[in-house]
Amino acid sequence: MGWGNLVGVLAAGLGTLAWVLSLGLPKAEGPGPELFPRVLGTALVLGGLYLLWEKAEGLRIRLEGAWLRVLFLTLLFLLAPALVPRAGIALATAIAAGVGTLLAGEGWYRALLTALGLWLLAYGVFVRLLGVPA
Amino acid sequence: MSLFSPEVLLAMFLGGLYGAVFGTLPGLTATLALSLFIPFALFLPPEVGLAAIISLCATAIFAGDIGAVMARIPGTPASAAYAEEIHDLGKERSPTFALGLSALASALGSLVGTGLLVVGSLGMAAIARQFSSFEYFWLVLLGVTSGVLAAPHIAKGLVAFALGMLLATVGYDPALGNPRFTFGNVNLLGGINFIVALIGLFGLSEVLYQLLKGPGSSSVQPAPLRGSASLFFLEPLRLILRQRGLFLRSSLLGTFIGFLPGAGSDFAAWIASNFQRLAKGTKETVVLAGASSNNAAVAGTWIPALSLGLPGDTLTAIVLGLFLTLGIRPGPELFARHLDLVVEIYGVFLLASVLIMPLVGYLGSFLVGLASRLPRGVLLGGIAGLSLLGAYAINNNPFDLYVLALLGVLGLLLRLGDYPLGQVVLGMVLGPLLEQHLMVSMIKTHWNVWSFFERPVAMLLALVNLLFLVGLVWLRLRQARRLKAFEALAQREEG
Repeated sequence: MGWGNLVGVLAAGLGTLAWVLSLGLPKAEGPGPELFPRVLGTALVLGGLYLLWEKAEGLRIRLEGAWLRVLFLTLLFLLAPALVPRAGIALATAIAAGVGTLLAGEGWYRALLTALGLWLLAYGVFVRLLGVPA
Repeated sequence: MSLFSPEVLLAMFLGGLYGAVFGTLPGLTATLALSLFIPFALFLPPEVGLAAIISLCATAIFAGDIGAVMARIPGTPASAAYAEEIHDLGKERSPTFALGLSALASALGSLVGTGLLVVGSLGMAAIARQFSSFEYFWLVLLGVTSGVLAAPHIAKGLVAFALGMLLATVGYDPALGNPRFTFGNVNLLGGINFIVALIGLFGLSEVLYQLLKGPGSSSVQPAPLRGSASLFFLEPLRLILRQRGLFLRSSLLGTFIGFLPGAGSDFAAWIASNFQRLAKGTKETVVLAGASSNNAAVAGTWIPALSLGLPGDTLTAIVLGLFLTLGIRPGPELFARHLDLVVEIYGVFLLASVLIMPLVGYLGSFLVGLASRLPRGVLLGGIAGLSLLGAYAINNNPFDLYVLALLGVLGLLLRLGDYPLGQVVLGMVLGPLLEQHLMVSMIKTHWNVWSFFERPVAMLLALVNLLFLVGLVWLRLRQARRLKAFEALAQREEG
C-alpha cells in the first residue's frame, strides 16, 4: 500500500463523514445547505475508492525514525494554542523556530541563533511595529 | 500613494528579491513565498502590499531558472520545462548569458502579457457586467473542470479539489445562513481562515515533509557570474530581436494558457518549449520560448482573476483570497469600485517587467549565492517559526493554530501521496463561488434546472464546458495510450 492509497481511504472517509453530517442540516424548500456537501462527499468517496483500488505508485508507506521528528513538531504546533497565551507570540515563534532547526539536524548553536532571529522579527516587527498582541 | 512613491518602489524591489530567493531554492516555491508573506501584506497599505505581491510572483517564476543554470536544479516546475537546455547553455556560452536570456525573455514576455492583461481584463469585465448567476455558475464550473483535468493525475486532482471545496463549506452556508460543520465551535462560524489554511498546507507541510525526507543534496552551488553587463543584457536582446516571431508566439500562447483557469505558468512553459523542440529548435530558442511563455502566463492568470473573480492559478487564488479577506470583491465590481487598485496592478506589472525583473535578475543571481549557503535546518526552522507567527497574526486567535497543525499534517499526507496541493487551494476559492451561484440560481427559479440553459450566453458557456470536458478527457486518454505504447516499445528494446 502506498501513500496515494492511504489518502484515498482518508478521502473516502471524509466524504462519508460529509454525507452523514449533512443529514443533520436544516431543510429548505428543495435541496438546501446539504446539497453541496453531498455532491462533494460523493466525489470524495468515488475518487477515494478508485485511488484505494488503484495500483500503488510512488512512495510506499514505511514508518521510520524520521516520523518521530514529524510527530514531535506536530505536537509542538498542537500545543501552541496553549503556549501562545502563556508565553506570548514572540517566544512561541522562537521556540517553534529553534525546535524546527534542531529537528532538521542542526546543532544547538544554530538553533539558538535561528530562535533569536525569529524572536527579533516577531517582537520587533509584529508586536512592536504592527501591533499584534504579545 | 502613487506608483512611483518610494514605499511602492521599495516594496516592489524587496518583494522581487524575496521572490528570487524562494524561486531559486528547490523545494521553496512561489506559493510558499506568497503564503508566508501574506500575513505581512495584511498589515501594509493595499497598494504597497499588492506591489510587493505582484513583484514577488513575477520574479519567483523567473528565478526558478537561476537554480537550473547553476546546478541543473530548476527552482520551480515552470523552469523544469527547459532546465536541461538552459543549464547546457550556461555551460557552453556562460551562466551570465543564460541568465540574461532568461531574465530578458521573462521581462519582455511579461510585458506582452501585461498588455494583454489590460485589454483582456477590461474587455472581460465589460462583458461580465451582463452576466447573471447562471453565467457565473458555468464560468466557475469551467474553472473547476479545467483545474481537475489539468492535474497530472485526474483522480488525485478531483480528490484534492473536492477536499479544498469541502474545507470551504465549514461556516455559515450561503443558502440559509445556518452554521454548517462547525461542531458547535464558535471559532468555526466564520469558516476556516483561507490564509491560515494556506500556511498550513504549504508552509508547515513543507517543513514536515523535509524533516521526513532528511538532508537532501538539493542545494544550489552557484557558479560565479562572470562577464559584463552586455553579456547579460545586450546579447540576449539581440537574440530576442532576431527571434521576435517566436518570442511573440510564445508570449501570446503563454498569456492564453495563463488565462485558462487552473493551467498556469508551468503548463505554458512545457507547451511552448515542447513546440520549439518539435520544430527542432536550438537550445537558445527552446529557452526563449519557455521563459517568455511562463512569464506571460503569470500576467495571463490575472485576466480572469480581476475581471471574473476566477483564479488562473494557485498564486492568483491566494491573491483573490486576500482580496476577499480585505473586503474587496474581484470581478466587474472591482473595476467599478476600486479602479485605482486595478490601474495600480497594471502599473506594477509594467514596472516589474521593465525594471524589476531584469534588475532583480542581475542582482538576484548574486544574492542567491548567499542564500543558498544558508544551512537547510536553519531555513526549515525559519519557515516553522514564520508559519506559527503568520497564522496567529492574522486574527490573533490561538484556535487558528489548531487549524494550522491539522492542515499541515493533511498537506504532508497529500504530498506523500503525490496529490496536487495547488488544487486544494483552488478548490477553497472556487467552491464557495460555485455553491453561491448554484444556490442563488436555484432559489431564484424555484429549482427549475432548465433555467441554466435558457439564456443565450449561459447556453454557450454550458456548451464550452461540455466541449472542454470532452476535449481534455480525449487529450488525456490519447496521452495515456501513447505513453503505454512508448513503455511497451522501451520494454521490447530492453528485452
